[in-house]
Amino acid sequence: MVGRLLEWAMNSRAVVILLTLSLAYVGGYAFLHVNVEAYPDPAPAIVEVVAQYPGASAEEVERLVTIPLEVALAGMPGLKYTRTKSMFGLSHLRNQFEYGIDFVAARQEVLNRLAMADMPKTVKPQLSPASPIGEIFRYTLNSPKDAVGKEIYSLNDLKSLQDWTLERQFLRIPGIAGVVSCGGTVKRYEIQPDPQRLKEYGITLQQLEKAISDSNANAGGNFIVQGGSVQVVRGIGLIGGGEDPLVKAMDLPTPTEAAAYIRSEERRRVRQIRQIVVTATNNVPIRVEHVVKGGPVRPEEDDLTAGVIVGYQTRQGQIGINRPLIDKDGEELVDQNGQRIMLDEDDKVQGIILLRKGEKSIPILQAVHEKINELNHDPGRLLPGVFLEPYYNRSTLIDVTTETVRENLLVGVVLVTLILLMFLSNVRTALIVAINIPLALLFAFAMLFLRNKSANLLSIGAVDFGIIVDSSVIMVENIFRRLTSGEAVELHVKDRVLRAAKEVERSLFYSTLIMVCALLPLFTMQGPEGQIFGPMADTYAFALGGALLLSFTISPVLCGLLFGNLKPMGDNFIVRTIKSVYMTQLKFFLNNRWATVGVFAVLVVSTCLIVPHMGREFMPELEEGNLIVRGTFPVNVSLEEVARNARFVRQKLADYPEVKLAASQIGRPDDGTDPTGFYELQVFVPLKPRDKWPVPPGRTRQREKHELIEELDDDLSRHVPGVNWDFSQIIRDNVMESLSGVKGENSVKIIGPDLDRLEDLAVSFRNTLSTIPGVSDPGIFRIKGQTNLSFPIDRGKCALWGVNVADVEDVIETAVGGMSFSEMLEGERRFDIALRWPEELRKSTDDILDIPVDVVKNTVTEGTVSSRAATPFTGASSGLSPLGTSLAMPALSGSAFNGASNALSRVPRRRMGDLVTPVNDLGEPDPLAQFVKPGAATISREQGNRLIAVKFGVRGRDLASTVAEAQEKTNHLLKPPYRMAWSGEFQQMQEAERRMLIVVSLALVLIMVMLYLAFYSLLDAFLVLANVIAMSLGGLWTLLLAGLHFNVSAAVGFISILGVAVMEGMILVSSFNSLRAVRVPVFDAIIKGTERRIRPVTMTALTAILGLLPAAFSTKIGSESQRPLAIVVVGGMFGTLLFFNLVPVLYSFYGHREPHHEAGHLAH
Amino acid sequence: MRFVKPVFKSIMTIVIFALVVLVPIKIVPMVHQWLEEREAGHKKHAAEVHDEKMHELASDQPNTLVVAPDVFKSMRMTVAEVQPPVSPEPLKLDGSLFLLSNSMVHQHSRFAGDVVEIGEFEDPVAVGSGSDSVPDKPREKRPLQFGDFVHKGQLLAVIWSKEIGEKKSELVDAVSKYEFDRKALKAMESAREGTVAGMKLIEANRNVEADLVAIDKAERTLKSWQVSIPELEAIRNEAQKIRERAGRPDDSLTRNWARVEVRSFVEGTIVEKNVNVGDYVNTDLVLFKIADLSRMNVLAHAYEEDLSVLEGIPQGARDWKIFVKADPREEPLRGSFDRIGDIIDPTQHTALVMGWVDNSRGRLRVGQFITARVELPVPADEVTIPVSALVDQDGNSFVFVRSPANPQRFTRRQVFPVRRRDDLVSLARRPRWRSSDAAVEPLAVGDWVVTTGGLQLAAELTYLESQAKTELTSK
Repeated sequence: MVGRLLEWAMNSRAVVILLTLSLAYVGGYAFLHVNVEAYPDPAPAIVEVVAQYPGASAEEVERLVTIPLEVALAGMPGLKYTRTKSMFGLSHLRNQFEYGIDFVAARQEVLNRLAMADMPKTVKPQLSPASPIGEIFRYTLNSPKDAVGKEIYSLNDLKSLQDWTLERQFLRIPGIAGVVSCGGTVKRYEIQPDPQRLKEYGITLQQLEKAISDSNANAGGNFIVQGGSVQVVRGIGLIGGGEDPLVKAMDLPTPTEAAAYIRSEERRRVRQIRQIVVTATNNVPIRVEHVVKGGPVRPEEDDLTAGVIVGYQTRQGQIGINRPLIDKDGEELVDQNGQRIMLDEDDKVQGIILLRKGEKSIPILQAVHEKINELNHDPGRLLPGVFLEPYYNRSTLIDVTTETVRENLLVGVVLVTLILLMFLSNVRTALIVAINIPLALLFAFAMLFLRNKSANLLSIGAVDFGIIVDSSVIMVENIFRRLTSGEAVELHVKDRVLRAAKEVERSLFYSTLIMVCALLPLFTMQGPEGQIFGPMADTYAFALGGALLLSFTISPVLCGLLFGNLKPMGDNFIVRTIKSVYMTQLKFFLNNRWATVGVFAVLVVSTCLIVPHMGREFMPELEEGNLIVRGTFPVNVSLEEVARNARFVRQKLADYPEVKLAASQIGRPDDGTDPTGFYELQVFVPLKPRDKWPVPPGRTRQREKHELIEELDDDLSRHVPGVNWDFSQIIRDNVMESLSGVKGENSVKIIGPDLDRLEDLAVSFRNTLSTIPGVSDPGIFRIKGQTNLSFPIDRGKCALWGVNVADVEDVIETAVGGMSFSEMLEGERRFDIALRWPEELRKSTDDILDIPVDVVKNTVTEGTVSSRAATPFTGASSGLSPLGTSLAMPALSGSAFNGASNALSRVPRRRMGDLVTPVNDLGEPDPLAQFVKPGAATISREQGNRLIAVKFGVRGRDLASTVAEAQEKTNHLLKPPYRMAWSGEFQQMQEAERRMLIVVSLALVLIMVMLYLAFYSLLDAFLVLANVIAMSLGGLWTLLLAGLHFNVSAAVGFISILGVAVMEGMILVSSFNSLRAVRVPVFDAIIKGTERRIRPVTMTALTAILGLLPAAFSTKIGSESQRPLAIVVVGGMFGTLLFFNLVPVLYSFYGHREPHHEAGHLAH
Repeated sequence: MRFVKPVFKSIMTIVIFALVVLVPIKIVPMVHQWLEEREAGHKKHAAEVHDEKMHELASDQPNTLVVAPDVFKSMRMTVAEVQPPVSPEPLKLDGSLFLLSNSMVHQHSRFAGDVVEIGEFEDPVAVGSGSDSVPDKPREKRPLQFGDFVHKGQLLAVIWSKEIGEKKSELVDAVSKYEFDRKALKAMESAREGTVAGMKLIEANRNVEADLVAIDKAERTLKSWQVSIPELEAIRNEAQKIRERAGRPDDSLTRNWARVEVRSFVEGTIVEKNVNVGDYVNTDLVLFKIADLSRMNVLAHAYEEDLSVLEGIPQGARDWKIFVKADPREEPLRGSFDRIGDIIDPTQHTALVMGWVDNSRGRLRVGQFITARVELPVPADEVTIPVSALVDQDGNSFVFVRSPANPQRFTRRQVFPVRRRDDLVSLARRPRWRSSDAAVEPLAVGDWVVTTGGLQLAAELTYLESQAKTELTSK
């Protein structure tokens, strides 16, 4: 088949050239338009469910929301894990499906199941838009400032703009999954009833709510016909008329006017609420303002601070940013001491744009850019003076990594071309081979584009073009060698080329098959490594296939066209020198073949002894050019306390000149997509480009990133005690959290039923981990520690008054928590209208205990004096009064003529404190006990079991040995029913290693089968595999010398060169066999065969080395994930060169064995 | 091995053997050593970092953390002095204002009759007060109305009573008859003895006595009806005139013959006026209610659970501050309570606490809702700290106390909060609910406690302690 293709190509040269040009055009188009990602999405379909249950404690959330959701979602097809977190007001479920399950189908299944979940009334579970690598853009909203530096717009204004305008704008961009809004305050109109006033006017909370709700609606009255026209009849009853003040405010010329207008509109609405009539007696209306704190105010007072206020919902988090001031040229401004002038703002509104899973980031990022420009520059799109200021943009990382890959590729291509020129001394030959490199690349791009796949830095950067063009090298080198050998000069060039090409047809076919077998592990990889290296396997396969196709088509055609007047010529000086040196040393080794084998054996034994001590990790860490600094505070810490520390941390971080800015996030976004609490401070720290890192004072060089992290860690740990610090990067952090369910690179999950025991065990684990070298920042994701102000409702006390538990709880919810009961419509915007007690009535335990509870069910009668109706046998009668008199009791005030209404008499009231009793340690009611009790902060569950996670990082040591030591030291800590699971990167590494061991073994077996089919000799096949061992030695030692650990990237490197090693061994063995087939003695066959093959073998090895040499030495952003792969390839190929003598030496042991008669056909 | 000479072959065999044996023996330990050194380097680094820690456990005192001044500064830690106990949160009693019972009178008319006049009130400020007022303009008089201030004895109303007119006429009649009978008796007595029958004389005497009784009865009745002596004299004179037909009858007396005046018994404000000219009134109708408003009665409702607290306040210290609900921004008014009601409201289970409040400024109104705040006595066995100093951890409460000798040492001490206000926490010196913990050293006034950063210190101390424990166990 290949022969026919060759013949067709040589006979249809014009067509081939045209097709090649078409390929160049299509590939070029694809190259320009294919999507490039910084990092492939390593996660399977993960569908997150968020259910907010405001005000509920972690235990209640777990019981009422999480567990019902877990039950509803259990057993979905392909579901692998369900990991949940229950915390104050939030339930978060992460459903991880098996790899291969379609995300859309999984999402739909989750949606279907959610409908079946039995939830509390106010809880509406929703799907989260978050995905592991979905976070592509972050910005803050900047408000203009007045003359004294105060922001003109309130946080309510900015948040409202973010939630209702910007979010919708960005969501209209196709491919955006969601916009997460963090920081700021969500506006809420708050009515603060005065319990005493309510009582005085005899108005209940329900009446108040109903009056306001009923006064907040428009009505339609159809239309009337007036002459020839129609007039629609409407009743306008919405508070504020339902108009959106922002619409007009956006059109105003100055921020001051706009802010003033918004404030005046808010006052108007507040006034309208105040004027709502609750009830009327004798034509005297009782308005809302009569029953709220402070009572009525004069219209001119416009008091917005009490009674009815424009407040905000309970804050879930806070955003702060410390950034340098920049001049017009984008340079940082410095003070007279040369220090950067920083602007620290500790309460900002931030938007995070999330990409939909599987979408292409570059076009979407472009669209986001355009949208930001449009919003910032088109008047009337935002409030006057407000602008969006991006501070994280994934395209920067993509650009940098793409640049790194491009540079490595370019240098690689140049080096490969130089090698070809060096070995062949013929520009045309080098050109024919070199032209195949971009063409193969374009072929790969065209295929990616047509299959709607994205490229990424690994998929492009890890492709070794030296290996890719091996087929072309062999083809062109053979044609060149044949044409310059002076053989069959009587034939036409075309025929000579065809003949030479056909000589390598079989070997190319087999070598390609073997290459495909070698790459089999790449194609069959599963799990995260499959996701990461899958695109690379695709690209590799397309490039390899394209190069092979080109070597059978355009290469011989170009040889036919360009080699027309090629004269016989010998090897050039370099080749001659290499041959001479090589042959001399080969003879030496052959003469000392036992010694050679012995040395090799020593090396193998040494390597085998060292390999177990070699560090292992899952994946090299992709340098993203940023840091995520996470501080975990005590779980019951307040927002204000963390905000105070966050200010210090931001300033501390900004003291490091490598840091571009520091953006802190406390707590979680309002939509609950990031399940955490105030205890978590997350600082996003974009770093300056490495070349702009200064040399710190007292040092002679720049800091390395790991040194920067160590110093930061040390600095923060020392200055901010009681906080566990953790360092990661934004994508890595999200990915690791998605895969393991725990924030942090690694963690050990302790699974068991009792929360207290889990806490104790976690402390033991953490302390043990902290003694292990290499473990950094061990920390516990605490379950308990949240302080609860628990009011145990005393059923005995409630029984006296006929008070239900629900009555008391309603008061707690409304009075303390604030209950939304209606909505303020401002155009499209909706804001809660809520009832909540004034702050001074609920701000301490004693205040809360004083909150009145209406007793509506208790009735007071005259006593047990009861009249009995007459019966047929008796007359009517009445019982005796237990008081001894049926007369009315004396007036309470002591004077019947000076009586006044008892404000409390209509509906009795009790104080909260009269209906609750604290319980002691034994759980018994004890009036002297405390209401403050410990409670759960976050309850984590996996597969329906409670767990606690102890996270840790590994720095300066490999993951595998660190975890192995940790496992050894912690194994004795657990007894059933408690068990542990090591998760995160370690778990991924273990699973990946297990899978790869199986697949690589399978690939080797297949290669053996191929080799056997090629040689019809098992011995030959093993001999060829000896080269694989040589290659492996080279790869391992290079990895060791480079100080790198074995990881998936390195494994992929080994896989990449497996095929080349086999191919080279095959070339040698087939060459020897072909000579042996014509009865050449073994020694002569080895010498001749080697001499004949030394050029192509050296060329292919060197092209493979040089193709990835730039990547191996690159230290730029994006090179980290390629480097182990490139180093293994370079080292492995050096190994094959170094141990090039091994195959001939081993072959020398064959003695008089005759090869199979078919075995020589591979040679050319 | 045909390519190799025998001597060289032997040498090579020895070399290979040496390599096979020696290289692993040599290289493997070297690599091991390299790996160990690398790990040792990390350990050393970790140890160095540990040595440089700016906060550590005090070796000589449990629960104590030594913090470097840098940390104190970076954490912006603050401390506050433990204060003497403060009063518990005042007891807040809701209630309303009433009239003092003793200072209010209900003015009735003694006789049923027609109201012919309402007392006048001289407006202290002329009409058109303010900038338009004319100082010399005579004060305007108008009938009394609700809200007017009246003096004791001031005429409130005049009733035209048929009853009193008749009684007066009875007196006139009795006086007249008496004069006639007296003259007749005198004439009989002056006649010669035997001229008048004895029986007649006795009868004349009896008539005179009966007339005197009638006069006395009429006068007593009129006196009891509060007709004044001069008025009675005038009536007598009028009777004389009528009998003697001497001169014209007294017009004024005639005009006022049935007049009844209603005058104020007290000085105060008319808080109710139920009468107008032309009304016919009975004696049971309250024409006016007049009250002294310079002091108001305060009736507040106290939950029965709070009565013992109120009763615990000594008599001389039963003061309260009255906050008027309608005017929360006004300064509270001072007063005191003197009685706690003996009857519990069966509906509410509250008792009335009665007292007064000064209203000399006159801005309080009867029936106004008030909140009475009663300051409670300061407990003896407590201290007070800012609420920010309290660290609640796993069901217990702690504070960090700064060592007086070394300001960098902070000792965690368990405390027992009894009351938590929004800014202050009162701590019991001894646990009230857990006798087993009685050994805890109590805080004393003058101790200094950490008010900012305590939570983090607690976390750090817990961490360091558990680490130290693990290290000890592992040793």
